[in-house]
Amino acid sequence: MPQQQSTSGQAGPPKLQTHDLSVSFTKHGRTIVAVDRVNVSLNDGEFVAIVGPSGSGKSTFLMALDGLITPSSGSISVNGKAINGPGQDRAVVFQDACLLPWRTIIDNIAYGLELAGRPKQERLRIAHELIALTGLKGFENFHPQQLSGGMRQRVNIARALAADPEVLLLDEPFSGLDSQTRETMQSELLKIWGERRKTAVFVTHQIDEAVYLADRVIAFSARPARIVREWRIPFDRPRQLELKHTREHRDIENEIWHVVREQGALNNAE
Amino acid sequence: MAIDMASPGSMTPPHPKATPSWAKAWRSSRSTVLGISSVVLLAMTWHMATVFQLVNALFVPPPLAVLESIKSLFTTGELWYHLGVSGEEFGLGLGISILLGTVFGILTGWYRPVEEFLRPIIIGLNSMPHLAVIPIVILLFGIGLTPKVVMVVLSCTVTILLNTAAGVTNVEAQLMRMSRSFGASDYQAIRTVVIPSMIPYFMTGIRISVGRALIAVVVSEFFASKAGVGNLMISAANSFNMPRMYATLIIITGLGIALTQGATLLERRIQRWKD
Repeated sequence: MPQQQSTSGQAGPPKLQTHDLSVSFTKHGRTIVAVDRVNVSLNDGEFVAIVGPSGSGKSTFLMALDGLITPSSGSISVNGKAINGPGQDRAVVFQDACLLPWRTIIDNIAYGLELAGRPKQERLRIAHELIALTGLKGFENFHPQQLSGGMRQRVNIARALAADPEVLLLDEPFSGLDSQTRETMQSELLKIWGERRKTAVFVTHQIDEAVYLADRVIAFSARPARIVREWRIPFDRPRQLELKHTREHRDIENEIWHVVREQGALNNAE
Repeated sequence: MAIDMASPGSMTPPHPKATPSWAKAWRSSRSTVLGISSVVLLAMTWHMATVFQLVNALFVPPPLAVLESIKSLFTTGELWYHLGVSGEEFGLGLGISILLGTVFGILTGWYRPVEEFLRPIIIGLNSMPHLAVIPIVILLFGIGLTPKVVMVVLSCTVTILLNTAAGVTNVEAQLMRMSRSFGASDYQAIRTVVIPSMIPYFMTGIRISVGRALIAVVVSEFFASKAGVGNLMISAANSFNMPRMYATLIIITGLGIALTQGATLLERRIQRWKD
């Protein structure tokens, strides 16, 4: 199984690395293993997408990377330093935007900075930068419920970037959007990511999305999540939406689709 | 820009055709006009009933006499004294209720065992017709300020407690998780997530309690008191000063409307982000 292919040959530790990471939890007295000895390694600025059948533990894995879930064994390190709980070096873009409804857009974006105790002027300066970057100009003083789903996800992304994390963790951020908005957001994300080049882990069940966005796609098995296979996505950046309709893109999608589907079938047979 | 950029508030009106000005005026003032009409109609019916002696004038005085009595209550300053007494009972009672209701509401909402421990007492207090304990409270605390405050506390604490507890238990788990992910400490999570999510529930408790507190004050004063708006009303009734009794009732009703409306306005103001 081709797991840790750190091909770039960079010196120093990888940006993000897991070592035999397992997560299990107890439900009704039974121990359920959600993630089973997963080893991944991301270089600085690398964009990795994780796909897998639904309920496979992709999101659990991501929450463990953030530190919201404590692994049952194994370890996670950022820049070679083991992590223990949430920290400023990682930020999550949540599935539902998870915005604070009583705060304005600008104050939502500055939330992480506020918790970190950064001075007000600095918070506002950074938040305004991200407002511009994410195309939210003019919406600074709106409240979340006045915005469409796509706009809320922009705020969600801006909030994560405001904290200037080393690693961005994205938990199916576009799964609640209609397909047109989703495509718009995919290319927006690539544009934003092109500006900031954060190391990113993107969990999704949409294979076309994974291939379009990522440098590398990792397929997880049905529960408990293990790495089944991974693919290097060879397309140059910046990528245009037209890329999705090319033969090469479709071929990779197909290949991944078959692997994921097989896993999904295994899952259902259980 | 992106497809989903359509800015809110840019909708065109549903009827682009010109509507006659009288129709517009009627639409904008309809609720006020209709609302005032019902009160005027009621007053006129009352007036006619007394003029044509359809009701016993001894028990139902003409509305103009009641109006006169209201005026004299305001001008002699008598009303202000009684309002002051009742206001103190009301304010002190509601203040204590808010304090107790909030503290125990947060405790029961946050800690399951506390809720389980207090549940029978809360259910009991909530189901008990609270005015029924007035005789006992008077026996225990006399006829001064204390029994009225106790009655208000008995009437309002549970309402505030239950609403506050609901607010605490309904804090969205996802928002808490988000807050933790950004590194919030316990204190930060409570300040930035728990308290703001609780406020709408808490304010509902306050709005309901304001009305209940007024009832508790007035009815307690009926039973045993030396002053207060309830005392004013019952004294008028006992001395067969019917215009004054009705005048006091109308003032108390107005007070109830003002307090509840005030609480509603405050509730809306605090949650302006919801619009």
